[in-house]
Amino acid sequence: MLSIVFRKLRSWGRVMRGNQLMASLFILFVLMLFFTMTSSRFLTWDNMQNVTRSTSSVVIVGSAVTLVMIARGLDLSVGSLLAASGVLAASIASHGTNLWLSYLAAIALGALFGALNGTLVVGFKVTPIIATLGTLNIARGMAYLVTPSAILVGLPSNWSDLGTGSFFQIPYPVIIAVVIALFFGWLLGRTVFGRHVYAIGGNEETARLSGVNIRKVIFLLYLMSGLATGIAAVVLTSRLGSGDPNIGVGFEFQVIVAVILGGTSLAGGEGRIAGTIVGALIVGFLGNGLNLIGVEPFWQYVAQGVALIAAVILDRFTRRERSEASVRREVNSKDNFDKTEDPKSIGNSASHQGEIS
Amino acid sequence: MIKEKLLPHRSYGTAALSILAASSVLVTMLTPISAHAASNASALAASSYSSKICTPKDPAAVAKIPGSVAGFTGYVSAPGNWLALPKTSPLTGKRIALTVMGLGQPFFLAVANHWKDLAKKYKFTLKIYDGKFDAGTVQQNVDNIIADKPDAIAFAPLDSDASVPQIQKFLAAKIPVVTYNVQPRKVLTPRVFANDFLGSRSTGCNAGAYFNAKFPGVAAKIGIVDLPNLPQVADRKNGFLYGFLSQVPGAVVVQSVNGGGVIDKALPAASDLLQAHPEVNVIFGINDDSSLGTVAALKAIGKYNADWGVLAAVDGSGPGMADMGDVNSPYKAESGYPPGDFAFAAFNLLGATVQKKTTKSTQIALGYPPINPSPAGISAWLKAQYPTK
Repeated sequence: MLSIVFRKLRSWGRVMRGNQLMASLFILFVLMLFFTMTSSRFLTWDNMQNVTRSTSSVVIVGSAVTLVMIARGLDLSVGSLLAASGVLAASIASHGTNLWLSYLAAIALGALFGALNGTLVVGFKVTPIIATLGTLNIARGMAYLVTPSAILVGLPSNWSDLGTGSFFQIPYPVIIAVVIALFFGWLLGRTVFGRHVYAIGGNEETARLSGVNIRKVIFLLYLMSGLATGIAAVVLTSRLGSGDPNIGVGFEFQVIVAVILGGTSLAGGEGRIAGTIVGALIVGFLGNGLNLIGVEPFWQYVAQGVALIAAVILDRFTRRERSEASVRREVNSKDNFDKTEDPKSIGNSASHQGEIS
Repeated sequence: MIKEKLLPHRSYGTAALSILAASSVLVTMLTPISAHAASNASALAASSYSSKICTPKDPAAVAKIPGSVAGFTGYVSAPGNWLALPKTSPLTGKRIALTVMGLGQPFFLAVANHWKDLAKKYKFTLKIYDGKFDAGTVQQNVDNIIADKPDAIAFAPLDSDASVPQIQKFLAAKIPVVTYNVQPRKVLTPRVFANDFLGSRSTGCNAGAYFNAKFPGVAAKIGIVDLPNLPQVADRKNGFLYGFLSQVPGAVVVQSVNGGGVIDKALPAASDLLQAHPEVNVIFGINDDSSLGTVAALKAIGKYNADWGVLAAVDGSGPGMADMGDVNSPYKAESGYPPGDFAFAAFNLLGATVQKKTTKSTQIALGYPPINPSPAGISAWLKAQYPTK
């Protein structure tokens, strides 16, 4: 009986080691279990609403940035763009314009900056880190130019409805985040475009030789990242109830941390939207749980740093496990081939390799 | 199942209509009451307000609160009316450099605007350098200013310690300099700063007086939306607690959370605070971003009303004051960090320094006036310190 339990545990451990998403989910589960045991306020509906509402902006932007990072890109401009789009929407709304028009303006500005990033990276061959660092400064400057009196208040009374309202107890920001994550999940996992993104991240030259329109795909990725940031800006500014050009400082790092925690490889070619959602929730629940159990702020920095490092180590560990498993499978299939030299087994072997890659 | 037993299918519509009608009646009945309660709360806040510092009802309640940690040189000002504007200025015709910690913050934006007005009035050339709240940018500004060789500098240090070598560089370049806001660790030049402890203490006094008047007999549970790495902020927090506990000796601090001093980080921090301790009925924000983040957090959980408790802060910027002016808001006590006073005092001090009428020990410790929460009080404060163009 005991040996069966051990065997089950061992095989479960192997699954965990070979699957980054499972590992991230495991970390999330352990975190939630720990905070549930240490704070009676943690596992409550109100707190779940609180955390998911808070992490919705990271999920919205993170979903788009996941694709960018899978394709070996990087978008550092999202934090400043969040501020610029947010204050633009607030500024337009404060003049009594229809709220939806102000939302559209914010999303359009996001798309404009996304297109600018795409043009710089694709058209002018500027490295993503430099291009988006430049637009980061432009967007922040624009945010301050839109609001010369620093913070915009006196917005219409229904301004906060989107950010604070809910549908059947599910906050609107969460619904928006889920819809956007589902869209990007579908785009990445179920379309040719998604396969092209993985191909570019895996090996750009091979992708080019295979006929992938790399310039078009990368441009669209930055465009979508800007669009998603525009949407997140509307959600966040609505939650805050004001237009503040200082928001979003360090937001790009929150997004990148969530994407990495979710298993997207820094080297590109690997990653999933589900992982990014789990990564965002890990960061959200960690900060929230530490506050609920009253951990001092300085220790919270330490805990968050440890979580990030642990996740990256886990990433390396699971990656090595996967590549070892892949080699083992290749060797096995080669052995089978040598033994049988049966055309059927060649077909099986090839299809198996295709599955792995 | 239980619901089905209690509420048969065919009566769902009727029941829903009845509930709707009853709710409408209840809302109609309660609306004037809540509106009255809110205006009553605002009236209470205005009537319990005092510009004087309160003395502790029970000295034992405040005995363990640390005193000021940021005032390295004490808080005695050099004699003279440093806030009055002169008819003529020794800065006329000169080239003046003004640095600000960050123009993105309403306080520094207002300081810069006051200086622009002074430059127009007294006819001097003004160059403004934005530190963007970044140590590297401030250092770059220091080098740029020295290269530009202005006639005098009003310098806003980002940090007490890091500012010492920066001021020494100005002095080595033989440019007269005064500092304002954050106080340098060493006494090198004349300086203007505020008494953060005393200023916040008056906020605590007014918040406590209002709490006693609005919620008699209710135990006060305090939460703080903090920024726990600056001595000035430690003074603000401790000053508030000293003032509040002077009025409400039994008050207890249940938690401090790190709001980062900016609204988008203060919002989730305040949300967590309210989740962890739903019993919290007093929140102190170390600046207006912290209090506005708390306002958003209270709105998100449906607790934003004058009957929830008391929200207090220090700053006095336009956005914070706009919320304090709302009769439904629990935001009822604030002391103002006065950008106009800082600009005028630094301007006068720089003039005196250019005329060699000061020594390196000359200092001006500004007051941190409590703001009367009545519409007239808020308006008077904003008009004096945050004039609109």
